[in-house]
Amino acid sequence: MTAIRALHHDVRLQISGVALQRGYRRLVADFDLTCEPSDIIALQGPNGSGKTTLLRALAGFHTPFAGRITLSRLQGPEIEEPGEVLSFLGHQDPIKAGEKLIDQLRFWADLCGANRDRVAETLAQVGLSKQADLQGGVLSAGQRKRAALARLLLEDRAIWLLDEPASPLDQEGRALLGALLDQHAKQGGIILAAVHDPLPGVAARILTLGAVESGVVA
Amino acid sequence: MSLVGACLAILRREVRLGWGAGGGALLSASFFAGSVMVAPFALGPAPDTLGKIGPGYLWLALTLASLVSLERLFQADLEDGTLDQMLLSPVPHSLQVLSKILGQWLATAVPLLAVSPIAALLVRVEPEVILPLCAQLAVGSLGLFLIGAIGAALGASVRRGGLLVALVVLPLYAPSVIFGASAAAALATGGDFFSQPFLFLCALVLAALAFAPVAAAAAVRLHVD
Repeated sequence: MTAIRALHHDVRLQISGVALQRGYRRLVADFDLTCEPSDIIALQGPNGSGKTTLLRALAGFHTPFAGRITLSRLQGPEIEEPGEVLSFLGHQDPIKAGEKLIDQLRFWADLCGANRDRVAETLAQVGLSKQADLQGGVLSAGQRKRAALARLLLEDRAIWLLDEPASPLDQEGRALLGALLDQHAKQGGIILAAVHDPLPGVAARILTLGAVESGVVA
Repeated sequence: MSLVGACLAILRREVRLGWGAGGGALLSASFFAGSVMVAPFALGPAPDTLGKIGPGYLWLALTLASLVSLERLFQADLEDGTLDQMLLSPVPHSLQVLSKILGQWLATAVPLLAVSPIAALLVRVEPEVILPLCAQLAVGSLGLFLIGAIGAALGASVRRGGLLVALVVLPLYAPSVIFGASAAAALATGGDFFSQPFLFLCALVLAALAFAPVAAAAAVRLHVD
């Protein structure tokens, strides 16, 4: 326990008996998973197997059809809202075309109560210092993803839910992603990522969705 | 910081995005100005006719102009995933929605209200009534934006949802328009600024201030699923 206490994040995630449904289509049934600090999970499965839906359910956006998702701290106050401990990086990037990148990140810093002064530093960390004053609309897909990663760093929450984080990134970007994932896990963070290719730079536990029979339920 | 700071951040951003490239903050104001500008052509420039319907016509123009900006209030944020991230913020969702509405109101309604004295002149409102009338329009516009946000939230995930939003919102606008236009008519016939219809309008705006953000937040939440 002493080792865990020294970590920056100490949140545990428990998923028990979760079933997910989109319309009448059952995507995931009886899904169980326990994540301890420093766990890295790669969710794999064919398109439409429910990877994104599972991540969105964990984030509290989607209500599971059955089952329970529990977030708890090893010590400290109870967690009332998933937003306290969890960051979500979806396949859409919340980047506005008509606003400077640095202003957008300052906005996210204000919204999650992070220190504004860290914005420039995190932009440097993801290699976007030169793009700080550019409008969001001129950024490439990879740069937008990097900006989303900078937001994750600003939010500094224990659980990262990542939906295809590496897809638009170049080689250097993937190396950067790997380094950030490794650093986050070393601080006790939990990472759940929906991927098709293996996560760069880290050893992840692989879970495959879509193996259970999924289909239309009456 | 935190709660107030976060709400101010949302409000500032809404204004910044509204006035930035492609933000469309001036759309409502130009719609308002345009519809007032054609009024003398459509209704005839005779001072007695125009002067009689002028105050009511301003309310009509304000109502329709406020509809124009509603469609995009939540839609853009829903499409690019901003709403997802806002749901994960520690700030209560209804407060975020309230800040967004107020930001949109500042960005959109303030230019509209700035041109409203000139618009009032065009429809032959008596000069001494113009400023009080515009003040009433300002109060009314806040109410219209708040109520309209509920419809905008309900229609956020519908492509080209402007029609749906208008259908949802127009019946909800009716009370504000009735009291607002009666207050304007009272002003034009020499009544008090704080006439009974205007006090009713104020009450409506206050009620909308309390309930609309909660209702809109709940409607937005449905789309995120």
